[in-house]
Parts: sequence; structure tokens; C-alpha cells
Amino acid sequence: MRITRAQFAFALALTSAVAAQGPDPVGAAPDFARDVWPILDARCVSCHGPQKNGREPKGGLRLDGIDWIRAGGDGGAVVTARDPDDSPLYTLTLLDGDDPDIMPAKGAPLTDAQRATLRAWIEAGASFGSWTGSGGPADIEAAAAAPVPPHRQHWQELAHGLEPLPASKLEAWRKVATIRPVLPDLPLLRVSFRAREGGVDAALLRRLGELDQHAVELDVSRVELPAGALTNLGSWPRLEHLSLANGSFRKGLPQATALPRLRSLNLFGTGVGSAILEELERFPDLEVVYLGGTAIPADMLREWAAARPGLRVVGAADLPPAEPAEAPWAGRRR
Amino acid sequence: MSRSRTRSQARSRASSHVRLRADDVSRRAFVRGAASGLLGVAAAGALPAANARAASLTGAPRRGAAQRVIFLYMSGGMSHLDTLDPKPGAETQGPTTAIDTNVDGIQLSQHFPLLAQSMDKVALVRTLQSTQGAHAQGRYFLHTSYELRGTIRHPSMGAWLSALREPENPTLPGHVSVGGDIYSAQGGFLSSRHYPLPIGDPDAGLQDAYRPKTVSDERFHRRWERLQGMNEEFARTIGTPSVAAYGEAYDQALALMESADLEAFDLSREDEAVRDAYGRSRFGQGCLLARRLAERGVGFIEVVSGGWDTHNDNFESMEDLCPPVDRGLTCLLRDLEARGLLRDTLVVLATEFGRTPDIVEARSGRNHYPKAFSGLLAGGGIRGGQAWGRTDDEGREVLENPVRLQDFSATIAYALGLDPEREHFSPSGRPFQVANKGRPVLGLFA
Repeated sequence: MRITRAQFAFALALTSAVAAQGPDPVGAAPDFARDVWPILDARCVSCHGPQKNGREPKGGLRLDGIDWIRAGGDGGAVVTARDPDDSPLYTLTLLDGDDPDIMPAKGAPLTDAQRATLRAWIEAGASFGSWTGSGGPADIEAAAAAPVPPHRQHWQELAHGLEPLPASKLEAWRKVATIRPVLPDLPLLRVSFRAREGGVDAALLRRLGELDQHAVELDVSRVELPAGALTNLGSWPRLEHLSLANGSFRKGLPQATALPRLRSLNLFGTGVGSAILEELERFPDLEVVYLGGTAIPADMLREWAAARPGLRVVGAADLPPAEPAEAPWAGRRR
Repeated sequence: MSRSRTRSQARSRASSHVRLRADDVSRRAFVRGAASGLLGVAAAGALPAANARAASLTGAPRRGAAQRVIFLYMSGGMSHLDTLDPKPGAETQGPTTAIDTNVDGIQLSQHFPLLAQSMDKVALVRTLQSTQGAHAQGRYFLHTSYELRGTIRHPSMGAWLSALREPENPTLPGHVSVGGDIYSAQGGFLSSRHYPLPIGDPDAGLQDAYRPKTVSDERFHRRWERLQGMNEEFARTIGTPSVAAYGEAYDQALALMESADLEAFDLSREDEAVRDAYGRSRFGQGCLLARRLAERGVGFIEVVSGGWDTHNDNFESMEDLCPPVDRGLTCLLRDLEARGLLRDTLVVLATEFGRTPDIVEARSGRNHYPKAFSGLLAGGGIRGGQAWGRTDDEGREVLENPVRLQDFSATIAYALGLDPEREHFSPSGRPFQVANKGRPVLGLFA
């Protein structure tokens, strides 16, 4: 059965109403135990439940417990919080009645109200409240006990105690910058103004402080910074990578800029002079600095770098001299 | 605005199937959804580490995660013994000799003297394997990780990336292919918006991207509005996804024409010395163009080097084929590094298969050989200065750490922060993955 425009509009209105009220206000989003579980219990768990008569749950998917639902099935996750269109638990129920992939696989398709409930639940954040259902798979416990890879451990430690940036703020910033999370499930962000036209105005930069807790990487290369813009950077506690490359910025980093965790600083093509070298001492954790295309004389840079073996100093590119004219391939367009 | 109203109407009339690149979901919602779904942004109450397999795979981006890819495709099947996996002393080596690099214990063929001095930035992968031994099938498998079929066209990695991630620079195309034909990189069943923008000759830049001088800006926009008005009526009555896509193509073209970053395509803005350094070959200039596009936030740039199908005169051909690649690749790596871009730009060199260790004497050539061959990765979190995997003394068999092409692609996906295990649904509702069940090679990363 095709979704008519009215049904689509209804579902959209429902989800808009939910979304407009922000994340999970009490009483507005479907309550999992009261609204969603009865659907799963009645129409899904018979196939997607515990092993029955020697038959495994279909598609490796169980839906009778919070950890089972989160673990997903053979095809991966079945629910993506806030994104019903990327949640097979919901999308497969929308298929045509004669589509072999439709869920439930047996019996009539879900009613419109049931589909709308699923959608609204996912849209509002797919939270389970106090419901847990049956216990979870053993391998989840094992994975939880497995050692955390070093790179992930680093981010987890950095993110400790940090609440995610509110969705509305994120949306607003996304209109003017490219913001990507560093890991899918952590609130740390990479912020890039790399490709925005017209530069970044001072008013906007004053609000940049909204991101100061979450940004681990800030890229304002290719953007004309207004004078004094960097004073607003303040002490961003988690910023590890800063790129000011290709900017018109020359005067040096303002005294107010104290970035305790800065590990890489990109000043390529900025035209800064040797005065910057002293300022770089301000960053105790600095591992690499890019100083190609600046006004610092090459030999001064080499000497300065040699005195600091723990710091990687990257100068202008060492491009090989042009190919000789008599090379056999010269003139042939490959 | 009238254009977006038309598009949303067209979409709502589309089929009830909810699709990946859903024409019936507004683009912003899709992008937001894709971002939150794939990358978990603002997914408070997300289902993260609880998905045990994703967590154990750390389907998450790595430290220094790749923000963009430059994919160098050696079209025709690059001989591994004559390039990245030489076997000095073996009969199969033929006349090609090996040279030392700036990494102890790793040698390259004599044809890569420049790369040999930047080997510390590179991870060679010497144990690539494919099941496809013919060009069309092999090229398709390399780019999509699926077998070529009559019934469906799969997206290549560049198209997936364009579809699954918000672009860093919305005024430039997210997916560009330099010097190739339309069969190498493709959009598959994804919207045409994700198809690569083809650039035939980097020297010529982007053709037809400028308004003729006889048409003023005002006149252009008046004509544009009139055209949109005419199209609206059509779109209102025939609201199919392909009509919507057609409209979007026009919008994208206009955005590109008016983009301040259009100059990225103009190589005449680079110093002559830099252009010379990259090499005045199509491939070399293509690498330079790729660097310029990467600097401006283009997500996936493919540069194609053709002519590697050396059934005849293999050894003589190497003298022609290798130097532009040696030079272009090395300049690209050094240039990206100087600009602080190598850290989050993944550079890939790949080919559809290798070439037979046994030399065909009569033609002094090598035939197709998908059982074991070589590629390389650099930047984007990859640990440089390593040679991954080992083939036997004659370059015939993989002895250690095989990397199937779908695993190679999964490694690229993983570096980019795309979850190789996640399923995405085609318009017909069938599930596909970005690298067809390939498993990323975690040992390649720093």
C-alpha cells in the first residue's frame, strides 16, 4: 500500500511537532514501554525474538531487549537515533505490501498509526526510558571488556564529562561552517571555515566561543580574519589542531591566546615573520608547526628547529627540480 | 523560494520507498540525517558503542581522520614487479632493477627514484587481490567493490562519500574525476548529483564555466528566472525524481559558476616552477589540480593515468609510464605535507590488477594478473614508511596479509569515517555497503 500524501503529511506533522519541542520533553515523544513495545511485541518478536525450536532469530536480529535492539542484526544497526529514514526498523515497514523485503514479513503491514509511532519514537531520539526487556548478547559484554584502541581512548578521555552541543546550536553553526564529529558517538567536533565566501565577520567570531568546549580542530584557512579576531579564541580547553593557513594574518598571536592542548598549528602561507617563533614557546604540547610560505628566512627557521628536536617544523615543500627537456617522455601527453 | 517549493512537491509524489539518496526527503533533512546517522552528531541517546561490532571494529574515524581523498588510478593493470614490489635477482623480474629508499629494508623499482626519497610518507600494499581479470570487470570491482552486473549500477567510493557526508565546500562538486573516462568512477544508483565532474585535460580547466561577456549579470539572471518559471510548470505536472535531479544539476552549475573557488580549476594561477615540478604531463598537472581542489574542500578527486595494459613492450613502456607518476605523486605528497594537508588527506594509488610474473618473451610483455599486485596509501592517518604484506620471491603468490580489493576500499572508507559495516538501501530497497563486506586493514593506520 503506497503512502498517500495525507499520510506522509500526517507523519511529517507528527514528527515536526515532536522535533520542534526539542530533545525528549516528557510526555511529548512516544514512550517506548507504552507506545512502541506493544507493536514490537505483537508484530515483530515472533521472528525477532529468542531462538525457537532450534531456529535462530531472523536476520540475526532480536527486538525483545534494549541491548538486542541496539546491537542490530546481520545487516548492522536497525535504528539510528533521530533519523527514521536511516532506520530499517522503520523504513522496511513502509515498503509495498508485495515487496519481499517488507516488515513484518508475515501478515498485514503495520497500520499508519503504528508506523507513525515508530517514526516519532526514532525522531525524538530512540530512547527507552526505564524499559530494558530481555538481557543482551554475550558478545556485547565481551566487547565492553575488550581493550579500547589508543586513538579512541584519547578521544574518550578528552570528552569525559562533556555534554553534546545542543542540536539547535549545531544547526545554526552548520549554516556557516562545516562541522564534523571526530568520532560518531562523542561530542568532540572539527570546525572548518575553510571554504566560506566573504570571510568570517567579527560578530560571528564573537560567537565562536559557543564552540570552545567542543572543538578539537579549528580550520579558518582561506578566510580573511578581521583584526583582533583571535582574541576571542581565549583558552579553548580541547583545541588540538588550529589552521590559520593562507590567511592575511601577520601580526602574531595575541597574548590572550592560550591554547593548553594545542598539538598542531598551521601557518602556511600567512606571511608571518620571525617574531612568531618566540610566541610558539607558549604552547607546551605543540608537536608540529607548518611555517612554509612565511616571511621567516629559511636558515633562521632551520636553526630554530634544530634547537627543538621534539617539535616537527615543516617548511616550504621540497619539490624536485623540473624534468629535463631531453627526457624520453617529454612532449608525450600521458 | 519557488524553486525549492517545486522540488519538494516533486519529491512528495515519488514512490513510497524510503531511499538512501531519497528524492522524497528534503536535502537538508537527508544531510542532517546522514550526518547524525552515520556520524552520530547530536544523536544524544545514540546507539553507539552498544553496537558491539561497530565498536570493536572501531568503524569510527581514526585520529587525523581523512577529510578528503585523492585517488590515483593506474588504468590498465599496473605491473607490480616493475613498480612497487620488485624482486631483484628473480627471473620474473626481467631487466627492471630495484633501488633503495629512504626507509631501511624497503626497495622500489628503478623507475621511482623520487618516490624513493619520500617513502617515509607511504604505506605500500603489496598483497592486493582481485577476483576479476578483465578490464571492465576489474575496473568496476576496484571502484565499487561489487561485481559488474547487467541489472544494477553500484556507486563508487567517491559517490558514496558525496552522498553520505555533508560537503566541506558546497559551491564545488564533491566528486571530481580528472583525465578518466566516465566508466572509471561512477554514481551508480545514487542521484546524479554525486556523479563525478569530469575534467578531461587539466590544462584546459573547466570548460564553459564562464558567462560570455556579451551577457550581463542582470540579463543572465533574468533569463535564468524565466527558465526556472517555465521549468516549474513542467515539474509540477511531471514530478519524477529525474526531473528534480535535472533541476538540481542546473542549480549546482550556477553555484559553481558563481563560486569564488572556481579559480581552483585554473592552473595558470600556479607558479610555472610548481607546474614544472609536478611534470608537464596530463597526470602531473592532474595531481596539481587535485591539490588545489583538496585545498578548497573537494571531498574525492580521482586522477587517472592511462596506458598500463602492457601486454607488449612492458619494459620499454615503464620508461614512459612511470616517471610522470613518480613525479606527480611525490610532488603531491610533499606539497600536501607542506600545507599541513597530508594529515587529513588520504592519497591512494591503485590499479585493477597486476601483471604476470612470467614474461611473454615474444612480445616482451606481461599479461593480466589479479592474484597478487600492489597499490599504496599515504596521509589521512596512515602510518608511512611501511610495506604491508609479502609476496613470494617471484611475485606470484601472497604469503602474508592478503588485502582483497574490497578490504582496500573498506580501509579507505574507514579512514574517511564511513562505517564499512553499515547497510544503505538502493532505490529498490536492497541493502548495499560502501565496500561490500570488506574489512578495513587496521594495521595500516598510525
